[in-house]
Amino acid sequence: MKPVVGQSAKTTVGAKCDGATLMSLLVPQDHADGQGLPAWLRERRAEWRSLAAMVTLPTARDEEWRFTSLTPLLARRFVVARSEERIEHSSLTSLVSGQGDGARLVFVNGVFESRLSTPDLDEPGVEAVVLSRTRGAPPAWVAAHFRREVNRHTDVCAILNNACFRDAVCIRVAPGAVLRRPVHLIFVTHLHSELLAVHPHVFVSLGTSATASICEHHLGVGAGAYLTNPFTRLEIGDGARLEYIRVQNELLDGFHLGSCSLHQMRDSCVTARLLSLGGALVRQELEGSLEGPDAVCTLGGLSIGERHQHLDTHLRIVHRAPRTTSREVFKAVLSGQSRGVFSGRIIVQPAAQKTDAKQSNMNLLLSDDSRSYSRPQLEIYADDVKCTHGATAGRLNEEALFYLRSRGLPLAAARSLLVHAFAADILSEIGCAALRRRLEAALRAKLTSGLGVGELP
Amino acid sequence: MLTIEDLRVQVEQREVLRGVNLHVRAGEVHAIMGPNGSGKSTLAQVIAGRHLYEVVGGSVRLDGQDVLVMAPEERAVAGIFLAFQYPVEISGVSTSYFLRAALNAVRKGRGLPELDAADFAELVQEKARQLDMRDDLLGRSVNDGFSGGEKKRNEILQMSILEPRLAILDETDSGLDIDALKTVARGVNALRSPQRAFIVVTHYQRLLNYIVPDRVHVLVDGRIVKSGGPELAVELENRGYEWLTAGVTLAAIPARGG
Repeated sequence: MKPVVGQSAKTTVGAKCDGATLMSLLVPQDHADGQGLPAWLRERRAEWRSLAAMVTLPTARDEEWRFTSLTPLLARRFVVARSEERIEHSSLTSLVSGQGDGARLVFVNGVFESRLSTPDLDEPGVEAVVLSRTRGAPPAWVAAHFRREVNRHTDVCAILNNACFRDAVCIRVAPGAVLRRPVHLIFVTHLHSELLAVHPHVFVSLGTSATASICEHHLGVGAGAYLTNPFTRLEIGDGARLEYIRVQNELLDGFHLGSCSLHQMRDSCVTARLLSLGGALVRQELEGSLEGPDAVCTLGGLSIGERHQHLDTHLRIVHRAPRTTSREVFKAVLSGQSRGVFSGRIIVQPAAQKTDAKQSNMNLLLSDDSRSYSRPQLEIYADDVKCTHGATAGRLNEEALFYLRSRGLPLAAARSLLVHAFAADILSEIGCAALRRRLEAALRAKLTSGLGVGELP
Repeated sequence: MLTIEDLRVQVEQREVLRGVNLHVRAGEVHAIMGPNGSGKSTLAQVIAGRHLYEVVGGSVRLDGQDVLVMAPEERAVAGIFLAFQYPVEISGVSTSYFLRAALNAVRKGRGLPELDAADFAELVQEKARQLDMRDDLLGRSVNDGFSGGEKKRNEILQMSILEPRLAILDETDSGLDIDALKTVARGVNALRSPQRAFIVVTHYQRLLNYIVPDRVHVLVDGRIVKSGGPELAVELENRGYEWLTAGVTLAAIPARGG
């Protein structure tokens, strides 16, 4: 579907009501464009801007946004961070190091910060192109990415990102290359004065039979509200294997509207994990397309909510080819008055015979006032498929608690053990041990400091 | 060691135990047999402290201490262990981590120093070997994907590590083939001592060929209707339970109010 460019009528997403467009999230002077982007991208940018100025913000009457209201965002006007601002970033060094092995590309307020990054990717077979470091014409594969049309008008996160990103990183792994260490992409929003909006933009392409591990981190430093609006596109070639981990650990007053678009060719294998720990209002979208036969997609997610956090995970997986497999295991641990939302649409097209799809959403409610909303949706157009889905929401299992206590564990320790066990599951089988340990520590910290769950006994 | 007097227990307003009396001395093995629904498992779980069951009368004392006011973890520290009929699967917690946490919790409760990882690993591997348990089970999540026999042996492994004073086996034989049964029995018998007592809850006499009891009690409809020596188990095997159930008044007994 081509973007609607140059028409005067507004393009609505869902119901016609207040008519606030995506650009109304930003202060008016940011509606004019140009800054910081290379010349070859400016025309495209103008097109994306026009689109964003016509697409309205979704409301609760929009089926896909039923449980997540963007009203808190409308009360503010965000300022897209300027790339020329000189902010002292040395304080961020400790924050971004220690992820473990592997190259590190750090972006502060949306722009690449070489002083905090490792000098290069350090392994053969992989190249990274950072827009702000590129002079002259871009490599063809990078230009091709930016020529791509936005797929659907309902991709509001992606449309906003395209209209506003200040910098981008494109990573290409050569056919047959096997990266031994993860590549870390760290996006820090460093708050100083205004309500910042930051739009990380990532494109990853794996060639035939390539193997790589990419870890994206999103975090905020400082205090106050801000908007992070990341977009990531993952293209996985024939037989390629990707481990993708996305950690969202925004400040508790931050807003996070992120989307990820995944395209898998035949025989490819992707394991993705989405960890959502911070943010006042979070919407994570992942759209996966299994385009070649025998492609396998395994998605795991964990959201941990305290106080008034609202954590929404929205998946849409399309099986387009035969014998493709998808697995979704999404968990939430919710306390206080937090809300967990899960929507998982699985579409099996007529050509996708022998599809094997399984979805499971489990919500652990630790307080009386926490709530979870679970919406599986299956659209099956082939007749020889296996599709199952299930959702649970509830307290800790009483029998499991009794079992642990009957062996001597005090109640508080038994509860902690079960909560940590429920949550930590998502991190099993992460390739890089150092990364896994660091993520386990982040998870434990959120559970103990944030939710008041005891330490692991 | 254990004295149960006139124990009455309800679940959802229905009386399940209607005045159970039992006296178990250290060093003894008592078998509790009975038809399905007689309350055998309820008795086992009430002693261990499961809150699903409401005690409405009577007492349970361990060496004079009132057990019924103790939380399940306190009962474990006091030396009570229940081998579950349906051991609970706890994914995300490795078996060895769980066992060490449990042992150290019990040791701490008894004023003993905790065992470090190395000492514990030696201990648990030796005990697991004695029970013919595969080493890799220790690294796996508790009971997760274990076969029936492996789950029951895991219960006995826990028992051998926690060294309880009163061990209650709740239908440990159910679902076991003869070889697994013999292994479990061997593990239990290895723990018999003058300081330890066992209550073996079972529907079938077969287990009692391998774990020979000192006393056998028959629980029917919430009451012990007959007690005897090991030969009583054989008699039940030959005659079934009808000759005992026929004599019991099965008319509804109103639950105690208040």
